[in-house]
Amino acid sequence: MNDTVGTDKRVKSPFAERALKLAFLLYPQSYLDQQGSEIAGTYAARAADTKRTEAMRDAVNLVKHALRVRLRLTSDRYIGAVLATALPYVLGSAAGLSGFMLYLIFKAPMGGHYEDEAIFAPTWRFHPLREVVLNYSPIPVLVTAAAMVLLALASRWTLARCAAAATVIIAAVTILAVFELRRGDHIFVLTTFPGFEMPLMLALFALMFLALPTDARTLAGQRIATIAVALAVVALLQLAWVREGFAWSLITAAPGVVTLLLSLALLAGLRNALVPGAVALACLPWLVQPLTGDLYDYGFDGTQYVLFVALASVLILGAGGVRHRSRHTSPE
Amino acid sequence: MTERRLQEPTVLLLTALADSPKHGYALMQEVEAISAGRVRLRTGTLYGALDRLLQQGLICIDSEEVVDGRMRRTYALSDSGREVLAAEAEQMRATADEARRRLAAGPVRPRPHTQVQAHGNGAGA
Repeated sequence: MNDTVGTDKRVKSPFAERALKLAFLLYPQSYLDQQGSEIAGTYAARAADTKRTEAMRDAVNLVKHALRVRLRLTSDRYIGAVLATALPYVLGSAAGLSGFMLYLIFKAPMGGHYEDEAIFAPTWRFHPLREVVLNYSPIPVLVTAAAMVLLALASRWTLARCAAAATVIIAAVTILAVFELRRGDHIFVLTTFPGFEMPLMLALFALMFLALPTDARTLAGQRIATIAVALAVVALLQLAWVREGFAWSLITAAPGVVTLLLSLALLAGLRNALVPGAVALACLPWLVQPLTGDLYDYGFDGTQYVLFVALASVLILGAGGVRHRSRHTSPE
Repeated sequence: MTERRLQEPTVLLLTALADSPKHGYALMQEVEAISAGRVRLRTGTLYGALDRLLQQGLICIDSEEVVDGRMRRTYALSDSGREVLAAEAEQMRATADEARRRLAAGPVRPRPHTQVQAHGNGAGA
């Protein structure tokens, strides 16, 4: 297939040719055998008629198509609808996670927390940049993830997908960098915080966004299925807290509370912008926590937290009621 | 799964194929022309949609030829696709007719003050 691409007269731009070859690396061979020649012809004809930036966007579009072919994701399959339904929760969770992580980076830097030098790779044990990398390496991931969320909320879907792709790539680089840094005598990268789990979760959320078929429909009207999807996303979010050893605590309970809020919002018939709003609101305690105590102490007790969540629920349901009334007010 | 309305890019693709079979790049150009430049299908999106429509039996492969060393398939609307597109066009026409009828009837501008009074009296129920 690659030979065919390289020898075709119509692929005038070497850049377009390289982009096509890269995109084709991602397709399953069986699909390429069947469709690759035809897709290459269409791509080349298009690239010859458009600017270089358009050819690049077309190549990115082929990468997304390859991903969907690999995952067997199309809009008429149930999984496509599940992903479309999950999108608001994915975006809300990514927003909450990014906000919490950003706050931790500046409020409770982790670089100085490790006393055992044996956990670092020999070249990094006394390197002056070690703490900078440990403390601030997740920032680029947060920036791209935040861009993904904001662009999606602004309905700039093409740019949001570009930001999602950047999130995946930068998260992979970050995780590899931290892994390399901590390849000492005792490797416990998986419990490094915030060097691994949160970028990994953000990358996973970004991948879910990228895998979403562009013309997918949601499970609107199937309330139980929608709630199940919300629960699954929040369960994924829980994985970011694996360093707690799955111990039940206020920290690990927080995603459960988010689930409850989402369920309430959905039962009240709220969707679209209000649902990610509900997630962001429920994530607030995670943002408040570093302000009120140290990393392991919320600074407020369970009763206060329950009251806070109750207040948040009332606000969400109240907002839903106002919205409902504004939509159903008779003009007569 | 319940019957549902087609999405705009699907309608545009089926419309592009309604008068004659076309190959991939011609379809991209036709969709852009029909939508007055509003919808620009990219290559991956086009082949994703074509795969799906083939699977649903709404289109079929009309012919295959090798051009410049590459396979070129020409797609055509199937009988089933023709029926679906006709039904969709009828629904769109009915909606458009209704919109025109109501627009022709003239605007009804409710006065906010009157509206609040009606609700206060329980007349809005």
